Amino acid sequence: MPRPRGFEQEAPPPAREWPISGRSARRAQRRPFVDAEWRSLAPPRAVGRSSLSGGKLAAAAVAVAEQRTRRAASRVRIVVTKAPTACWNRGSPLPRFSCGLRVGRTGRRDPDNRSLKDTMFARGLKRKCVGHEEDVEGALAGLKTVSSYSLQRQSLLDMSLVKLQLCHMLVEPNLCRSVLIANTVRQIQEEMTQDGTWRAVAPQAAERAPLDRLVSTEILCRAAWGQEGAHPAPGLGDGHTQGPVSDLCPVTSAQAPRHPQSSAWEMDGPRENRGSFHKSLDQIFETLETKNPSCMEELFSDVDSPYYDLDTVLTGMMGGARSGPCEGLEGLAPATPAPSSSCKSDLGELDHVVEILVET
Amino acid sequence: MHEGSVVADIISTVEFNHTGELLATGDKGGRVVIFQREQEVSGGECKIKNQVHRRGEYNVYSTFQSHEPEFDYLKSLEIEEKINKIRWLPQQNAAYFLLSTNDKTVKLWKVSERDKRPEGYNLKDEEGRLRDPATITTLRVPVLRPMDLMVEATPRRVFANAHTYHINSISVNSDYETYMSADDLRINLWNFEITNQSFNIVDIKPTNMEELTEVITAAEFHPHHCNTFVYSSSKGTIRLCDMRASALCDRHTKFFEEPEDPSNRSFFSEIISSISDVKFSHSGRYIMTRDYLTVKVWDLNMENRPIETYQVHDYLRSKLCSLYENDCIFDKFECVWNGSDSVIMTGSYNNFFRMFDRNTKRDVTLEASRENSKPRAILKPRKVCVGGKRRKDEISVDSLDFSKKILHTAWHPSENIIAVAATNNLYIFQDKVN
Repeated sequence: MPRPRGFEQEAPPPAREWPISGRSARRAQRRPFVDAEWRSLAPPRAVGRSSLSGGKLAAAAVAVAEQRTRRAASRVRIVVTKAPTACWNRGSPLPRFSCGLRVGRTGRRDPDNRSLKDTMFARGLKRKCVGHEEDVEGALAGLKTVSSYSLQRQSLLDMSLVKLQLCHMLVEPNLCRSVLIANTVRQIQEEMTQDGTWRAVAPQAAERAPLDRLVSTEILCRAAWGQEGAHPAPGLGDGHTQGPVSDLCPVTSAQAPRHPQSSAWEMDGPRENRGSFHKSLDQIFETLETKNPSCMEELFSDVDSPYYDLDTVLTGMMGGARSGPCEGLEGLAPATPAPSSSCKSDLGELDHVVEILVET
Repeated sequence: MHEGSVVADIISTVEFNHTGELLATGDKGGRVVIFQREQEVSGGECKIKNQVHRRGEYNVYSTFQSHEPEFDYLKSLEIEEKINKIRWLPQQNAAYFLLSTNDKTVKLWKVSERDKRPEGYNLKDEEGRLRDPATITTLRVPVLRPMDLMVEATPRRVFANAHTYHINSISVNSDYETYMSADDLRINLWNFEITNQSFNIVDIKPTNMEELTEVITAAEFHPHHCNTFVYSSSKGTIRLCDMRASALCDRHTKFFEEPEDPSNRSFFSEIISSISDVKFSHSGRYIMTRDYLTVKVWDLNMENRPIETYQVHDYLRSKLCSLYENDCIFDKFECVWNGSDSVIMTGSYNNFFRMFDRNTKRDVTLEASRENSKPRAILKPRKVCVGGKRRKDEISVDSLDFSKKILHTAWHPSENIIAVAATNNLYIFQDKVN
């Protein structure tokens, strides 16, 4: 759940009037959502790379990889060798970014032309295609295939969660769209849950695992989700040692050897994260049903609590009513930096959220 | 093909009436514009050019504001005035009746003509001002005198406060006394005369909203059997219900679903299988469904798979991720039958629309755009090329404009006249053979 927030923070959407009122304001605001979504998924840190990888999804994937690598002292880095494909079929060969690359190849693009007509994609982002080849770093060639698929899948998950959250902010969320996105998220989550333990199993076996197998991997799933959940808060995990394997995509995270210390943190964290994740999905529907601004605020603060506490941010103090992992972190103070400092380092990235809360 | 176009707000629904004489469009601004077909020039000299072109043109007949934007104070939500659907009632007297709906409220409008007005009031003068009673010395009987034709639309019924979720469909029953309105989770049955009550006939809302995985996307009554209706879901299923079976039709009578093709499975499989429109054929024997990439024709007697599947724009299958990113994958395309149920039509991107002949299995892609068609010009078939080699006149997939989508089309009930809504332009095409 916090993952998409990470992307949003790094590239806050353009300033707009909140709360929404009036038809024109609503109309004017609707378009920026598409742009906002775009920008929110293209973190500035990865811009340099995105020009090489030539794709927004690639940028997202690369940013994910970067965050993971930064968090731990490990030389293993996942680099997307080729940009993800538009259609993520399981078991498909190494993906090609057919749309974006073709756009670059025809050479008929105006550099400043941003019309939807010329790109397959939403407005706003200029796609540059310098080349297909990427610098290949890291020694785990076999993992690259798997990890790129997983990175793509992760990007899709992030994008879906962002869509859910953003549509949550719309005045009238389209229930059908939200349900479809939520189902996609569930599907990915299921698959990641299964992949976490059965990476080598044939695709059809991973399709519909019996319930008991899912239950038995719940602990591992929690850890896996904790991995995901902690990503958008790089500051929190800086001083925190994790197994080198855990740097890799979630596919292998379940196999990471767990230090008691780290597992304690992760149990605290991911439990919150996973709970928040589920809660956020549930809350989305509840809020869709009841729909009032305070619910949105509630949703945001609950979702955000796992890795940073809004109260902390706003008051500049450590701790707070809804800081789960923050409390956990305090217990592990020697191993981790003070949450307040990490929170403050993320302050710039919280502008968007704070703006909403303050102005609502 | 003969063409006319009107610029308005973004058109959100298009519907011919039962005779095809009137064409109603609803737009995002809550307005309804009704076009009327010009009377054909009689005399049989239809080969003369200027008589041909005057034959059967649609001109603006009436315009009125159907819905206004509202505010739901309880939920702090704006209610859009966009007209989601218009459905005509069969004509029973000189006036025309239509149902129009936005997200929350259905309204019954009466559109009537007035070509005479009374003159010679005793108490009012010609301008309508009250006369001083002291100046009245004689009495006279007001006389009806002809006047310029005036078309007035009056709201006769307002069916409100019955839907928690957004209304996506309305359908008039063949008994002409009831109609249904469907939102994302419920379907209500109304009687035209009663506005403060409706019967809930389908409710798929789970007790725990967290378990919500499926919504209703479209619903329609059977054209002849007033007890039968179908509704489609976001999971690609169609349920046929019989209202005689029970008051609450949560248990379907028939369940139409095509088994998934495992080779095509992806994360987007469910999204693209979501049905955006369902239409009964005029005969009542078939239903047609539109999902993101295909149009399917189902026989009511066969539930396990459709009898025909037509690929609308299969070249988009490899672009699904991008379309998911820019939300185009959630576009709800409609589909229509022609009068004889032999041809089906649906829209696509880049202002393209497709027609499939069910008998000859031929299909054609046409474009609704100002640049490419002049009035009375014949529409040229278009082609989208998927491979590397692009022929002249072909357009490559990457050059398609995804902001120009044709979601709403309509087909005249008996003639080969189609109305195509391209964003805020309405195009009317006619088969010149007719």
